[in-house]
This record gives sequence, C-alpha cells and structure tokens, in this order.
Amino acid sequence: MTRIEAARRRAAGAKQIAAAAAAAGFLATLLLVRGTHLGHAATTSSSTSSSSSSTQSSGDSFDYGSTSVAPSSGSTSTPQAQTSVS
Amino acid sequence: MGIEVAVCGATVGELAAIRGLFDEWDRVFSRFRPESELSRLNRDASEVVVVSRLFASALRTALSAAAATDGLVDPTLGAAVEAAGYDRDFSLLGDDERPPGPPSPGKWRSLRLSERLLSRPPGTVLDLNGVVKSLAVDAALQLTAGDAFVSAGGDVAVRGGSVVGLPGDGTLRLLAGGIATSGKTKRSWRRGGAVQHHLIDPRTGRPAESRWDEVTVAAGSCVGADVAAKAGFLLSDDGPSWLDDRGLAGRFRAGETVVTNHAWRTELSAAA
Repeated sequence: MTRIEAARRRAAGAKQIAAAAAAAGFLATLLLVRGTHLGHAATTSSSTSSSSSSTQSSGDSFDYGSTSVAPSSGSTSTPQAQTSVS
Repeated sequence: MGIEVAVCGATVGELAAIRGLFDEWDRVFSRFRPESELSRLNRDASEVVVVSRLFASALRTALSAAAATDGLVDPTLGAAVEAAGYDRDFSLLGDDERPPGPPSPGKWRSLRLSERLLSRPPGTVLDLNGVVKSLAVDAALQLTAGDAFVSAGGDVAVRGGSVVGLPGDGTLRLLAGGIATSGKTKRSWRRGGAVQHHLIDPRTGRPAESRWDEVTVAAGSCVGADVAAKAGFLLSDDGPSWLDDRGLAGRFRAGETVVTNHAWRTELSAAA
C-alpha cells in the first residue's frame, strides 16, 4: 500500500467515525427533544386529568335533568310511592 | 341510614343488591356511626386524606351541587348542624335547654378533591347528607333492569312511570327521574328554648329561615330533585322562580297554603 492509499484509508475511516458521531449526536438530540415533549405532555395530561377530576368552582357538571311528570287520574291515582320530608 | 326503603319491580337478586347498597352507603356516610368513613375523616386532623372511590364520587357530586346552587347546598355544614343540636341519631334527640353552639357558615370552596385525595382546612366537618340519600336511591334504581321504583326516606326514583303521593294531599305520575321533598316539618327539635331544624343556611351557619315548610321538586334524577328542593327551600320567596329558571317543577307548602311554580302548573294543572 502506498502512503497515499494509507492516507485515503485513514481519511475514509475518520469520515465514518465522524458520520457515526454525528448520527449518534443527532439521535441523542432527537431522544432528548422527544423526552422533553413527553414529559411536558405527561405533565399536561396529569394536570389536565387532575383538574378534570378536581371539582372546583364550575357548576356546569351538575345536571338536574328535566321534569318528566303527568297528572294522575282515575283508577291509577292510588299512590305506589310517597314523597315526603325525611 | 335509619330510613325506610321501598322497592317495586325488582327481582330477588336485585333486591338483595339494593339492600347491600344501602348497607354499604350507611357504613361510609353515616354521621352517627363512629366507624363510618365520614366519621373517621372528620376526626382526622391531617390536612390531606385519601378517601374511597365511593366517597370521592359522592363528594364530587356534592361539590358540583354546591357550585350549581352557588353554595346553597353545601357539604361542609357538619359543624353547623351539630351546633344546632343534631349531634346524634334523630330518634335519640330530645329538648335541650342549652343554647346552640356557635354558627358555622359553609366553606365548600375551601375543599380540594383530586381523584381520591381530599384536602380541607383544619376543623372542617363534612356532612354529605344533602346528596347521599338521593344518590343512593338513583344508584339503587340502576341495579334493576325493568320498570321499577325505589323510595327511601321520601326520595323516589322511577323508571317506567309510577304514581307518587305528595305531602299533604294529591298525587302525580312520575314518568321517569326522581322526586324529592325538603323541609323542616320532620327533623326539628328544641334547643335553648327555640325550634331548630336540620336545613342549615350556609350563609349564616344557622337553621334556615324560610317561609316554606316543605318544598317538593321533580327532576331528571332523584339527586337533581333533592338538590333543587333544598335550594328552593333555602331561597324562600325566590324559590319558585329559581326552579322555573331551570325548568324544574316545584310545589311549595306553608301551613295550609300550597304554591306551585309555572313549570309545575304547566305540566300538572290537574294535580296541583
């Protein structure tokens, strides 16, 4: 092997090492960014879930429903149940 | 709970499940059982406590009701009702010449419930009876599959339609949902020479001064009716219009006088 060929081989190896390091760096950066978002999302979701399950000032969640009654008449007017003060 | 429970339309198995439900809820929410979760929580000096899923669910409903009624139906009035003299099972209550204890206004906004973690200021005494009985009635009805009704202590939930007797006189047909009556005619006693009752005005921390003796409301659920009936009672003259603003039928009694709101008259002109 000539000295030029050896130098080219050393350069090629250096490039591979540099490329691998860059890829590793990129991957590390990618994981760090993704981890940050997940943590933020986790924080967001936990705070969301805690606020949704933490009942505070909003009265919007209490539902009275609607009245569904009719006059009773004739033979069906004998009460089956009784409402009273308890 | 010290109340009579009536069930119609349930199978034998469903009836057993309903009986178990009321037993369990009494073990959790009774103010007069020292071992109940409510009693143990009220004795616990910790600022933050872990409550059971059932307790958390009921408290969540109670807090929603407090928000919806602008604090009229408040789960933090345990100290106030005890100060008025209702500090033991009603069957054991007698006249007491001692003056009532100091008033204790409601403070529902000071509670923080996150999942099963509850934080409350020191000295807070919870009383969830503003919603528990009616919630239990709704839950019991859900244990049945067919047309049925469940009645407990005057709170009624119906599926499939039932004729319901009203306080004093009259009947109506409850097609679905619930009906409840709130008032001062039954749970009243004398303390310090004055008549007391169990419906505390959270604004004053004292038994409410209302022109009504009883208020009956029909709503989409028993707990909805119960909360609305209490609010209607506490609002006194403003009760009928408050219910009308929410599309709820209400019947108000003061002695022999019966007043019905617009929603009631609209739906029940023959039964009012």
